[in-house]
Order: sequence, then structure tokens, then C-alpha cells
Amino acid sequence: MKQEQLYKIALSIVVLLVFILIPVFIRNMYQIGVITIIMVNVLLAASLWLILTTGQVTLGHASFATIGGFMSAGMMTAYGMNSWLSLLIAVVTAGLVALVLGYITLRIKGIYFVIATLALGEFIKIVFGMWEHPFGGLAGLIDLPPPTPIAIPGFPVIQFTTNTDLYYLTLVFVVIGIIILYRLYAGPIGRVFRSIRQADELAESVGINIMRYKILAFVVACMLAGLAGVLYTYSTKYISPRVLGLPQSVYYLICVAVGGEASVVGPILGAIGLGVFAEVIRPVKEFEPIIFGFLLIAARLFFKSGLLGILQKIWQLCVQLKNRVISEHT
Amino acid sequence: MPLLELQKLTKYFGGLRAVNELDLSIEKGQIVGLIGPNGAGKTTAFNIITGKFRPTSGKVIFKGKDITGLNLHTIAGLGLARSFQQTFLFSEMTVLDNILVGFHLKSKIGFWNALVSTSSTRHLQGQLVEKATEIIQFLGLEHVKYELARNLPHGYQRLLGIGIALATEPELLLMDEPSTGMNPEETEHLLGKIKEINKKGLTIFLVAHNVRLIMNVCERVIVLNFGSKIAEGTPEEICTNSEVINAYLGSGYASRC
Repeated sequence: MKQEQLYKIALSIVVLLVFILIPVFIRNMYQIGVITIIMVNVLLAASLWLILTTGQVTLGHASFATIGGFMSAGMMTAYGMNSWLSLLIAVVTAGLVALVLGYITLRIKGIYFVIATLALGEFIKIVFGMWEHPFGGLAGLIDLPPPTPIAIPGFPVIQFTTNTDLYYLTLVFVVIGIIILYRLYAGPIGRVFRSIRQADELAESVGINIMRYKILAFVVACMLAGLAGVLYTYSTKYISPRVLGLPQSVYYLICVAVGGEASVVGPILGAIGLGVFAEVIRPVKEFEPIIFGFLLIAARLFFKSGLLGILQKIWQLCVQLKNRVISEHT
Repeated sequence: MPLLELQKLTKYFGGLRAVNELDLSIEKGQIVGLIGPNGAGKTTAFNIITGKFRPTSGKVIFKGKDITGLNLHTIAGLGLARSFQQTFLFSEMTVLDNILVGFHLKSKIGFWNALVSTSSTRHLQGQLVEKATEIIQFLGLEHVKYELARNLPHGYQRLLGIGIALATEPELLLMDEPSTGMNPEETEHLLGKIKEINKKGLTIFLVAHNVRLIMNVCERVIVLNFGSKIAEGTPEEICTNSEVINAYLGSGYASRC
């Protein structure tokens, strides 16, 4: 197993390098902006995935990004707060809301939980729409200031004015988020989550406090969604109650379904794949919902393990081929 | 002090009386059987003891402590484990992982040490894998250790269910119809295993329809019918009890006891 670990780490480093070098090869600022939003969606799909591993399906995930985005934007515009403190407040707020709402709703199972999260998502949208100050009411907030520059003595001041700056900032936070999600799931807690999803009464009968773990997954995921919401507002410089709503929540679910659920890599593949695909089909943008709907159904019917499963099969075939070539030559 | 005591345990589901003023006590080290026709209230009684249902009235006392109304995971933590009538397993996990989940309470999982794996957590994991392997070997599942639970034949799945309960290192094990779906050979094997774990000090409270199993393994038998206890005694006494014969056993068994 040790060798597999090394392969994974090596592959991750290569992928990370590719992402770090993207702005060197792509100079078009619009495209950098698109890739930044794809990164934000990666974090949203991956955090949603964590909730799914405990067997709870939520249609309200985008609303926690809304909470994060609004708290950050509101604090900065209404109170002139610096962006890093606003970010902290945004993430903590998302976590607290998740804690309270999770405690109430996670007792509910199956389809009823889905409906409850759908309702909560709409409820959050309405709440933010009610406050002119500091959240701008139904129109939201525009012309959001960029993240506050970081001045470390002895180093040049780090500004966040260009799309490339925002891209790297987003990348850093997304990578941190993914590492957290990966470590959480790969450890014993991941097994607890899976046990709750596969047989929750059995899990309880061996002493697992299923509410505690479901809430843990939910709060961590929603805090990361809040973070993603903040990153989103840095790039779009705009937030309104409608921007991150039900259609977006559904989109993140499609990313997980298409990408695969077996590990955090699944939703990453799904978000990147669908993000790029969406840009490719831009000329026929009106058909996007239909096409994505078809992709969701096709994924569920024909390739349940998603893009991740397909890649794993390809990898296995390559290994088999390599072994056969080696044995034929010895 | 009895290990488990039920005091006038009663459960109504709406107008249906499932359990009626059930009194019983089980001493440490015993193997006690609970029999009766379908619908007699045996599984309901188990569900109340383990914390899945609250009784309408009455008490459950475990190790001298009133555990009535505590929830499932708390009671499991006190040393009371249960295997299920239906085959509940972690279907997408291997046999080994299934048992490891059973060791949850012993594994000191925390949020922070899940993020950062230290040498002490790895050491503890290793110990748990060893303990899990012991249980797997004890049940005779060594050769399917890495098989997914959903791929196992039915008899092995039932054994795995017992293994998961054993992993909690309980003092009292409630077994709800462990031999369902097992052929005579598998049942014989199970019988031996039950006696073995009892010899190691585990008290067992067993529900079964297999009368031969009950008579062979239990030192005391309690008979339930329509939620009420109609008889209690040694297997021989129960076999010859006319009320039990009428309600459940049938006269054919009486001659075979």
C-alpha cells in the first residue's frame, strides 16, 4: 500500500504544478476568471460530497455560499472591515448556521431531509433579501472591494487586483479545503461516515453517535461552502440572494454524480469537467440545463462510479497492459 | 445483583399492547433464551432494552443502573450489545472493516487526530486490527476477511453480524434470531460459538425459533405469548409446560425434549 500512497502524492503534486502554471500559459484574463470560478465550484462540489458520505442529500448547499459571500461583502462595504476578518466572520457564521440548522434537520432522513434543505435554502435567500443594510436587500451588493492587501515587513506588499492574483488566492484556499476534506475522509472518521450511510441503525448499536457525526460533516462542509462563497465574491465583485441558489445547489450535485463519489477526487473531476464543458457549449448555452440533466441521468444509469471510476478502470487497464508486456519480455 | 433486570416493562403501540408487564432478570454468566410465537413481543422487548423504543411504563436496569429511555449509542457504550433479526451489515465494506467499525468506542477518534495521523493513533489502529482479526478467526471468517460484506453467503453474513456486536466488547449480548436462514451445519457451528463466548464470560440473552438450539444452549428459558410471560424455567420444565405446548411448541416437541 505504501507504493500506492507515493503514486497518489506524486500525482497530486503534478496536478498542483499544472494549476500553478496555468497563468503562465493562459494570458487571457477572461479565461483566468472562468478557471477561478471553476476552482470555487470544485470546493463547493467537494464540500457537498462530504455531506453525501453520511447518507444525507442536500439541495441547499449553495445557500451556505450565499451566507459566506454576504457576510464578507456586507462587513467590507457597510463597516469597512478588512477582508481577512470579514472572511473569518463569514466562515464562522456559515458554521454556526449549519450547526443550528443541522441539529434540527439532520434527524430527518431520506427524501424528507432533501425537502427540508430545499426549504432552508429558499429561507436563507429570503432572509438576506430582507435587509437593505448591510446586505443590500433584493438587489444585493455591487462593486465589492478586492481583498485587503497583505503587508508583511520585509516582503513586497501582496495585492489582489488582477484576475491572476485572485486566481492564486482562490487556488490556495481551495487546496487547503481539499486537504481538510481528504484527511477527514481518509481517516477513521471517514469510515464512521460510511457506516452511517450504509447502515445507520447498526452504526448506532455499536456506540456511534450518528447525530454528532452527521453534524460534524455538515458543519465542516458548510464552513467550506461559506469560504467558497467569499472567494466567489472576490472574483465576481457582486452578490445577491439569487446568485447562489437552487440551480447552483443542483449543479454541485451533478458535479458529484458525474465525477464520482468514492473519494474527494470525484467531485473535483466533476466540477472541472463540467466547468470546462460548460464553456465549450457556450454557443448553445440555452440548452445547458437540458444537457446537464441528461448527463446526470446518464451518470446514474451507466457510469455510477463517475469519471473517477472511468479513470480508475483506465489506470487498471494500463497496469495490466504493463504487466503483460513485462511478462512477455522475460 | 442481576446483570439485566426488567421491571413491569410495558409497551403499547397505539392501542396494541406489544409487551405486558414483563418482569425478568438475568444473572452474569448465564445464557437465557426468549421464545414464543411470532408477534409475541420478543423483538420489541429487545428494542426497548437496547434503547430503540421507550417503554410505555416499566424499567430496564443494567448493572444496577436504570437505563430506561437512554438512547441506542449510549446503551451500547455501557456494555450492552445486540445482533439483529434482519441482516444489517455495512454492505460496501470488507469483513475486516465491518468489525473495525464495531470497535468504534475503543478507537478514540477525534476531529484533530483524524486530520493529522500521529504514531500513537497508528499504533492504536494496529491494535484494533489485531483484535478484529481475532474475532474474525474465532468466527471462522478468516478466508473471507477482505471480501465485501454484500458478497458473503447468508450464513457468513449472520456470523459477521455477531462479530460486529462482539467487537464492542460487551458484558451482555442480545442475539435476535441469529440462526435464521442457516442450515443445520451452520446452526451447529453457531451453537458451538455461543457456548464458547459464554465460557469467556459474556452473558447471552437469546431469541430463537430453533427449539433445538435453545434447549441445547440455554440454562433458562422465558416464554412470551401476546406480550406476556407465560412460563419461565429450565429447558426441561418449559418443554413439559402444557401452556407453552399449546401456545407455541406443539405436542410433537414435548416428546423430543
